Amino acid sequence: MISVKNLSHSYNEDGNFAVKNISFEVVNGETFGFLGPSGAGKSTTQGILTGLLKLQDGEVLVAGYDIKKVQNERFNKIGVSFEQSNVYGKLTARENLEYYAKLFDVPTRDPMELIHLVGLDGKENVRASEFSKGMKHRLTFARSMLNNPELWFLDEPTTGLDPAIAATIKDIIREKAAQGTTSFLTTHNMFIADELCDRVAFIIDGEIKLIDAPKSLKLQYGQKLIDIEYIDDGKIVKETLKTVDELERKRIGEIVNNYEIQTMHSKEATLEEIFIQVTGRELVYNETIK
Amino acid sequence: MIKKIFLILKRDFLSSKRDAMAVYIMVIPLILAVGITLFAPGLNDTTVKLAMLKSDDVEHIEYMEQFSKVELFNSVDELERRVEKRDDIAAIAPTGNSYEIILQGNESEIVEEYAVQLNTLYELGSTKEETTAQLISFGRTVPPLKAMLVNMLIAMTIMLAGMLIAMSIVEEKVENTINALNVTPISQTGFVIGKSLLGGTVAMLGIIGAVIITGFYDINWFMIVLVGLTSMILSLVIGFLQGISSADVIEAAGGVKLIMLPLAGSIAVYELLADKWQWTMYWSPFYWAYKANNLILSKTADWGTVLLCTAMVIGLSLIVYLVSLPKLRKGLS
Amino acid sequence: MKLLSNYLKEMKIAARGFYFYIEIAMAVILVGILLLVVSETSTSNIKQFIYNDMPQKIAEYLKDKSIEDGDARLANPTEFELKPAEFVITNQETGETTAYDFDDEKIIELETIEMLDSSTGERDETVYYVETEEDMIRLAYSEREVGATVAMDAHGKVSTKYYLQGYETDRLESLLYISHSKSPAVINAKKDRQVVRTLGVMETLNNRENLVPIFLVYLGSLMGYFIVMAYIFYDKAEGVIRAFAVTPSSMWKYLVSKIFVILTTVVVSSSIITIPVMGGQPNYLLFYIFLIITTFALASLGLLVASFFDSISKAFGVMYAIMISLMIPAFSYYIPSFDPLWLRFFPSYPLLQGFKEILLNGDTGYVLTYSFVFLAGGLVLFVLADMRFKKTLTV
Repeated sequence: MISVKNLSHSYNEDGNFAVKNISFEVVNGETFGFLGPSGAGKSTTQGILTGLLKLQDGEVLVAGYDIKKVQNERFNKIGVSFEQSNVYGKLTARENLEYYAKLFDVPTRDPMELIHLVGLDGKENVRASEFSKGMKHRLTFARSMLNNPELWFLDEPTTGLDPAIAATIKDIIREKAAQGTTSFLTTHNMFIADELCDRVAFIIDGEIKLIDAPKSLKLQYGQKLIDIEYIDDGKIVKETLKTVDELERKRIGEIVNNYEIQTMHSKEATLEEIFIQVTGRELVYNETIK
Repeated sequence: MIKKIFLILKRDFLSSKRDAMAVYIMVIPLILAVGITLFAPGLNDTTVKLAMLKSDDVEHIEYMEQFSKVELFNSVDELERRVEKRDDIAAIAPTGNSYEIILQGNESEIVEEYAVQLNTLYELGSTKEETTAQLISFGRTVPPLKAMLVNMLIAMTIMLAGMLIAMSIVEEKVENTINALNVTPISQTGFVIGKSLLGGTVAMLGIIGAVIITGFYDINWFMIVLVGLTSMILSLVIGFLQGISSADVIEAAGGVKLIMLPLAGSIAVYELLADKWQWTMYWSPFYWAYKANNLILSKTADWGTVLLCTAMVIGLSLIVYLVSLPKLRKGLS
Repeated sequence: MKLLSNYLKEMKIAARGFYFYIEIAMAVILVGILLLVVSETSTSNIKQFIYNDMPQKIAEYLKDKSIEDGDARLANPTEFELKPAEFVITNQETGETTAYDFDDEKIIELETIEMLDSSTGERDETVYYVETEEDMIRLAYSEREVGATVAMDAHGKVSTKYYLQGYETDRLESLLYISHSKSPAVINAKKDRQVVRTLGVMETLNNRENLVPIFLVYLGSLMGYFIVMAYIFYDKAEGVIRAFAVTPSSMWKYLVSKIFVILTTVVVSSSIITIPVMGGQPNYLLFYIFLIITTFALASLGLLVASFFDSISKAFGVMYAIMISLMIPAFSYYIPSFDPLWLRFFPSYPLLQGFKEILLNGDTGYVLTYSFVFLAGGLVLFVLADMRFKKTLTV
């Protein structure tokens, strides 16, 4: 669905690259995560893939279209949910969706159905300027589904939303994935990437450091840990112990048998920890682990 | 509070420096002042244009050149084609022993009168030496048109300063930084003053610069600064009202357009209508500011009149401010 | 269909904002001013202060004769306030200077006569007769108007001493000299025998109608330039341009829909101003063609300028400079003798002249030529704007 080869981009064309010679592919039906901190090159990459930024160097195929050629019909297959809500404040929720739907050449979904899907029932006739930030975001998200996109670009889909709304958004993404929609998700939230993505790419300073499935990454780089809090001499003590290490396993048994346990949690390595490890910031990683 | 006011001024200054808006508001009046200085002589020279034949008497041509701008052509056809162009010009062509004056038909009356008068005087052989007229001069060198243009420039600068404030407020609203300021110790009054300082300062500098560039060195500077400061109050009130009542930049633009009506109306009434109609604009603070500046630039102002005009500007601006105070407070909170 | 959807969306948004209604309200106010305040004939505000240095009976006789002949009419006496003043006068011929220093303040009432225009019968000039030469000089100085002492010697020869401000041109002064080189009777007799030939019977716009082109250009087409930029910056702030860019709809449709909104507003407001004032006189087909094309061209200019900036404050300088430069030709419109060649290259010059021709049912060729020029120019600007917008969308 997406094929990127040797993609580079410099905003000022002065040799300082926001994205340097990256290559990756996204297969049909996959939810692909692009992970990195702010300024890593995620938005630049997504901008090029969606046509908002002009391709400077490299080969990019999106939904079967070579983006070097201007072919607006490719947008019939694409949906984009922007990080910053960008709806018309003076139009109501329904009017925003109805107008946007008319810009496509393919059959579109019923705006009321989408309004219901994102939990904006009863607000369809309210002007978007009166919406809260979360509501605007949901409307932007709903808009991105109007044309039943085969390829769905999601830019920070849950950032800044309350847990309930974030959960709704995640459910919708999962449902679309199950229906075969290919998603390109950019985020700096590793938990979201972990939950939703089939594969993730770590990008930092414009370069992709690795691409793999979250599970594989955890198996390869992660360490199984247990956090235990217990009472010793009237004081609460916390220890983090590896379950793969024999000595530490014995220590776990010792604590369980001899102390009053307050809390005990198994802890898998998070993508964030793996990211820190993989991208070369080992000192910072080691300090946090210790 | 003073420190916080200057903090807001500094932020606005930095923001405006990056946007260069404040720079434009200060610089553009100066550029226009240069333009006025260059073009005022041409504007003042309102003598009529005449078209004549090259084959006409040299004496006739030279005579006419003393009193008008003469363009020369080769034939009557060319004269007629020249007259038919859309500017106002009369042609004088020899016909036998006499002359005829050729007009397109839509010139202003003064063109015909002027051409007829000049040709009459030429045919009578009138010369300066025979005159029974004496001319006495008061020694004024600044034409009224130039003073009017400078005054209009001042009015425009005041309005621009208001626009700058309005845009700045709209920017704060769109970016929601007003709310951020509302949760700091600075009071609303302090915010208003801080916001106003940049626009006011910039406009004042622009006005002073424009007045100097256009050659009005020997006016009463105390008077013009006083009127300038009171006009600043006017532009602040307008700027704030526009900024607060506009949700976005389009509404701010529309508001500015509405404000131009009393501004243009004040200038039009002052310049074009008879004394008996002046009262129709007494409600407009722009009128009083324009009047005061006109008197100061023409060096006919006295302190009594200037203070009256100043009081009217302040008083009317205060009325507008007090009436809109609830709306201002609501908009700022 | 997409273009129509875009246009309807834009009109909906415009109708929900204040600006659209401000435009209409402004047009209504202006047409009200034109119809109720601005008269069809212009009345002159020229004033002259005269001191008659001659036997009273002769002075009265001359005044009465003007009134009887219909050249003047008696008006109500006018009061003037004389304030302290200090100045020096210079005789232009001899260079002789005389200093005046007045300390007193007084109010004087002057006999007032309105000189009438021979063709319209409207007031051409107001003449105030002053009892003393000193008062006349004071008034000429303080009111900044022409003063004159008209003297008659024992032989009945009239001489005039003009008190001018000092900024009058040499040409005007020369004219004053030679206008007094022969007696008025001789001059008038010769004047009546001057042959004047007009090339056609040309309509002119009256005082009220003359304002319509100014309103059409500066409150119509030129505002279109400014407001389309405001609309673009508003959309940039909302971020909706980026949302539009990831649809199959072309950028030019978005830009055209913006222009259509401006056109709608300008056509409505211009109609409100023009039709009540001009009635059925102009060729309205030509009027609307010219109006639409020129508004399109200026709006395209606005789009192009907006494509270079992110916000209205950043664009302000360029926007304002262009607006001011477009205002300059208005001087030429009101001061026909100020008509330098370079002024004709400002787009608003042919705009003003074009509307004038249309309202007069004048030179259709001129209007059509410039319609074509503006259309071509507008298309070029539009294409450039489209290219710029596509290039400058950022993430």
